[in-house]
Amino acid sequence: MSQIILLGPQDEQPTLAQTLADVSELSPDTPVALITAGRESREAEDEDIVSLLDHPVRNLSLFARGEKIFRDDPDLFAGLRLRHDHSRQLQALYRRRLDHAMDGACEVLETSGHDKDEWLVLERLSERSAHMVKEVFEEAMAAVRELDHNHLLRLDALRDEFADEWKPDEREAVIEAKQQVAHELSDCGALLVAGGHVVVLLNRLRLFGLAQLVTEAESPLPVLAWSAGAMAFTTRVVAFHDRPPQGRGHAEVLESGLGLAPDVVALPHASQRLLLDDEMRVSILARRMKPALCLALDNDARADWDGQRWRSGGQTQRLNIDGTVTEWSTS
Amino acid sequence: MEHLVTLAIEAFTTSDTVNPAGVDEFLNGRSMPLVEGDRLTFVWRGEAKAVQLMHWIFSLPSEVPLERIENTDLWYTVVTQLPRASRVEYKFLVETDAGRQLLRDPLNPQLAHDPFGANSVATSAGYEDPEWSDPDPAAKKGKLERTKLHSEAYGDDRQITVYLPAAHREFGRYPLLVAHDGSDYVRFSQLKVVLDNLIHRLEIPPIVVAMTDPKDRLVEYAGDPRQAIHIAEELLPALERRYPIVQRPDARALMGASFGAVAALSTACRRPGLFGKLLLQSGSFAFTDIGPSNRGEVFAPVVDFINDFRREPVRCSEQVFVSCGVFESLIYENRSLVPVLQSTGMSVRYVESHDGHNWENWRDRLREGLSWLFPGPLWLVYD
Repeated sequence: MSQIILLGPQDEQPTLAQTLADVSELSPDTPVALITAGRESREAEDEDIVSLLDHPVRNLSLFARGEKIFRDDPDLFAGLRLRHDHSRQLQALYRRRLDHAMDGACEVLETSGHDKDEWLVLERLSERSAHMVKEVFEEAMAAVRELDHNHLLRLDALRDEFADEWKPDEREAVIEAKQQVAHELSDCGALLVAGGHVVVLLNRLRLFGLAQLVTEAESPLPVLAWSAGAMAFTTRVVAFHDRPPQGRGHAEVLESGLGLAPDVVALPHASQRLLLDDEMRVSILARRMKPALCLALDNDARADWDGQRWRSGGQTQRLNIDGTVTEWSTS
Repeated sequence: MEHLVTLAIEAFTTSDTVNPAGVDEFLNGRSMPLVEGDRLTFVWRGEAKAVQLMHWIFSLPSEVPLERIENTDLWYTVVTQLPRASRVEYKFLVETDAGRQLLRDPLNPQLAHDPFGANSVATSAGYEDPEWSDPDPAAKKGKLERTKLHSEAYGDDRQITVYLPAAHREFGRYPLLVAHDGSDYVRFSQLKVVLDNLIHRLEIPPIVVAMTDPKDRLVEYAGDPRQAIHIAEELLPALERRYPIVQRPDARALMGASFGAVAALSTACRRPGLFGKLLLQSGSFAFTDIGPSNRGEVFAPVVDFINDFRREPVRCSEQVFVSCGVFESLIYENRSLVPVLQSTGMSVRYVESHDGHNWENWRDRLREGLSWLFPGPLWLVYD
């Protein structure tokens, strides 16, 4: 089983080279594979990553290869576009219901007299009242979790339908491109996956069967993934921002991830995108995602999955259901 | 509403230190005006025959006399019940033996600039300058490119300033925003800083912004048909030839404030469907179909245009963001326009603020307006 290492963003405080040295003993001339498909048309602009490393870097060009597949196989492209249209439609419908469900959960607390500093203490209420409010709140959160869960099932069903109807793995253009990628990956000592547009990245990783290539490699191929790359390798990809210029800022379940880094929700740039000192928002997000653990992947964060268990590293923090954000320790 | 808390100025006037030294002590370390709950105390110090507060809150008397505190040269007045998160620009009209002078508040360092100079600024509790309008060292900076365009419509050359987003590429394709009074937007509403920041934060996509400036604003922006010809037939083709712009209506927007908003709307109406998005701030949308307008001759062509538009609304665009301050005299006209715009089937978002007819009000609404018209990939991109 390959080791999956989730890292914090690499633009300000890069830890990539050190992490790579920690997890493998590669000779300097062993190439490492790089995926920057999340950068879309800027995929080839990878100097910022290449310059961090002492190894030859082989960009697998999944975005460009994908574009070529779509040019060579316009029927597949049309089918994929239709699936994406349906996914967007589902997301819009889910968002509408989510807003109501989340507002409902928050209102249970607000109308029960919570304030920001004592939001679950409910000190103003009698013991009996506090118990009732907590029970109703948990029920409201369970409804949100069910909504998230069902949304994900629908998205998975759409993807399965697409696979059944269009059989991408049996199409010539895809088979050829996948073979090329597998060949390029075969002598690499590690796979690096950068951030960017998380849905584009995830779709390309799926199209080229990266999960299979990683798990079935003859010798274990460590994966180092950060930002959107880290999100893509988890089980559930969750989009989040507490202060967006439009909308209410409720986190949204976007897709099933590749699932090679289970039981966690990756939250890159958490300190920028989330109000981590807002106990109510932190608690609600942690409750929504449980039993998965919400990991704040800021600069210098690191989380290692060895196929059996997680090991914390760097400055990784976790979001707790009591609304606090604390250092994540697995020791 | 009854106020139970004694104001600082009330405490001072009833103290036993109502003398010049006491005034020094009262003012020491205090920034004016004093904000206490929903009450603002404005203070002027100096010898004068009379002092008046001149503010730009349309619904209140525009000249509020200050009262002199006996045995001192301190004058004050209290403005009550200013809503939360209000922002007011003001000056003092000071009458001395030498005459009357309109002066900024020397005890208040907060200034707002506009093409006519600067005003002092008072804000009530809850207002904060938006941090996204301050330069962010982490945000990559776009560049401003100045170019000249000959206009057949106007028979002269026009200076155009084009904002190109950071790291834009020749083979990229970017939406286009045409900003009327573009130079003033940059100088007084920090448009360039706001664009850099919102693009950096992924709240809007990288966009190209063409900033135009009028030569005779009150004529050209008052619904003048030459403006539509200039924008649609001269500027747009020139921009599309020279810059990597998406050539679709849904990727094109017009914006403007005050008369600039009239110019934007009238251009869109004269070329329906060409610009898919409009950002109209505090538009001077005067009309006379339900009573006369007392706004003067300069508004006559505007009134004609808006009366026509109200009589026969045109689906001239697809998405329209309208904003106006409730302290403006134009609030009625802007509120009235919203249902007219909506009746055409256009998607309209209307936003009000506790502010007046000024560039900082327009700055403060840019994030909401631009990110609604041009939503960025904030939710999907994690670099």
